Amino acid sequence: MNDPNLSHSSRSDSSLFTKKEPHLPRQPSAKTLAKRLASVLINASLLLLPALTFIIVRVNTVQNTLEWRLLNVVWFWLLFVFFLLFFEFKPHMAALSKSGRVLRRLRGVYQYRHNILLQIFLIGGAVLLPFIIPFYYVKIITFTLVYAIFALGLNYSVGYGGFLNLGHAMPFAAGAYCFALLNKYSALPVLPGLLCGAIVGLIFGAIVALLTLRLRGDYLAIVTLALGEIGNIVLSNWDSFSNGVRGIAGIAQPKLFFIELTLQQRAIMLYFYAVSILIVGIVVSHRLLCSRFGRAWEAYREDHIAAESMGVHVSWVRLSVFMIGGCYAGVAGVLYASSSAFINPSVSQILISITVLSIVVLGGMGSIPGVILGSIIVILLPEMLRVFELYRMLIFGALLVIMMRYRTQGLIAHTRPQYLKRISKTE
Amino acid sequence: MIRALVKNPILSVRDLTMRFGGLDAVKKITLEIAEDEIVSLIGPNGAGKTTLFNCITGIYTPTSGIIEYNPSGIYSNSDTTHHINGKKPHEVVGLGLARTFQNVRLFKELTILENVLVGFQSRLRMSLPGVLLQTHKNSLEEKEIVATSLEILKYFKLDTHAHTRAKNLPYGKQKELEIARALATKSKMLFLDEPVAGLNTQETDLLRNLIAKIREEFQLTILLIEHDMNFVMNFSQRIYVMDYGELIAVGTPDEIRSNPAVIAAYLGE
Repeated sequence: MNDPNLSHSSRSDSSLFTKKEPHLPRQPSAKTLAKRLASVLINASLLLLPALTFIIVRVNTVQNTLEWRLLNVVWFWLLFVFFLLFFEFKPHMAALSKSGRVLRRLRGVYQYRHNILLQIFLIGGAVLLPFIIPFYYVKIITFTLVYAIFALGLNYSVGYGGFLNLGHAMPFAAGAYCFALLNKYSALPVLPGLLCGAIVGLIFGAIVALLTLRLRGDYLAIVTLALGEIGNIVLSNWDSFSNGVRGIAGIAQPKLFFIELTLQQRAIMLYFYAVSILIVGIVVSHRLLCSRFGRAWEAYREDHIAAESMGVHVSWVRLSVFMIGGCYAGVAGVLYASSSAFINPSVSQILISITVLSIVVLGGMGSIPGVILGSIIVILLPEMLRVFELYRMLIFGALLVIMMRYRTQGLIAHTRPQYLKRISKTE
Repeated sequence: MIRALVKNPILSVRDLTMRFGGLDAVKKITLEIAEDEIVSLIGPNGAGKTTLFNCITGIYTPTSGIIEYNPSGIYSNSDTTHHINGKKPHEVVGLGLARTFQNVRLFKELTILENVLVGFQSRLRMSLPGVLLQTHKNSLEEKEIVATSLEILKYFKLDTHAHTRAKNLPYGKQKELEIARALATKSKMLFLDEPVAGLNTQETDLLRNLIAKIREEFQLTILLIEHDMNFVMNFSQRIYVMDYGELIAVGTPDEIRSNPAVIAAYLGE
């Protein structure tokens, strides 16, 4: 610390400017290590919640009783602890192995291969899953995936742009009704329906953005809430257009090149649609975030005046996050309509907007894996544990309160993109 | 009225007035800056200095008056002169006028590197399909701006910590990062709002040398607001003094030091 220029650095982090090597983690103290270890254990326990459904508890639908398999809890908890340790201490392991002390042989695995391995594992699992689990579960998982796509859309405005959007059900309902009506009157199949849903969602996102162009914070939340409610009222009362509260039934499910499929096959087909759209959604979200668009959004969220002074077009920021988010919601709406084969104005209810918002908040605003974990916890878990239906809202509320107190950044916090790594990878 | 006109200014502010309700925060200010000049704007608190900055950089739309900018000189070629009043901040920065803020306004949750990358916003041309498909052109552009950002950060010795979040930086470094971010806009003019406020004497000297160095390297014209008289007198070539929204004196540091109106404004009659 000889450089007088840096004498003020003691105010926050004295070791910040003394190290020569970039990106190496500091040697953690015993206290921080213990803290991180504790966070790993807690997170592993949280991850156990979605696992409850398949592995630990099984619902006997005939006798309506639960079967507990408690030994599995131990195995899976250990598995999750191992996985999280792997991620939490990855940089340390890499650093340790770099300095030649421990784990040198594992260095390659820790640094590079885990991503590819994880991706193969996840995609392989996703492909095999519908063939090994019961038909009923396939439907529920499809439903969860639809909500994950829906929530990824909301993540643009809430997570990236920092706009508290309470009317996200509007483009969702617009996509669902667009497909349902087109299917009813002109027998539109699912695939072109998805495209129509995307376009309609985009338009409705743009409408929300244009109507709220000058609003910020709570005012924006109130107006988006009102807009969502207008959508609900219109759909409930405009009988000649939407068939009112009776809704639209008999919506088409996918075929395989004009071949009629059985009920089970159709469910599996929809599951694959949802999985592939979700993957595309994740890739698009990630790429946009690491581009000039994502940087503009996040800069706007952090400080809109500074962002504007650095050349960010602020109206465009709002328009783009709402439009892209609406696009996701529209597609999710089409999938929802197709998989449930029946929709009514309840798809535009405020409860839907709140549910999808709590997915984003619970999972972690701005974090893509967080949003997916959030939709698993918020959608899949209650569906699986129908026995506890009465306590659903109670548990939810408690969970959100606990989150707000102890982990405001969500279950999986949003991490910064590593530009230097990205750049060096392409070389 | 005081009018001190330079020969061929690149920025010219004429009779600028900014009225908030019944208050004239800036009253008929005329200010001109030539290429490669370092000009200071001083005055007691509430004199309207930052308001003037906000008018020039587009955050406020002035009530009346003209702001013109032409990188090759206002009087040399009127076709290329830009009228700034009424333009939005992102358009102003696109023309080549970047600013920093009095109370540091960084993107706190973003990393140091990302803060600088945002500065390139008005120069980037990558399209939405280009980003989604990760075209070669797009990744080249991305690679280039990351490299340029690191070069800029090198001046401030921030490049080795490019992935630290901006909020974790000490105050002095945050001020420097704001300047780095403004440099990334590739502007010809830099507006610094109290660059050394809150720094101690040593830090002030170092930052002055640093600003002088980057001014040479990037061929910048600088207009700055500052309360540190030592800094202002040693660093600037000309000084404008404001009080109660009006211009009370213009001149070289020596002229300002002995100007009775300035002494009256600062010390009282």
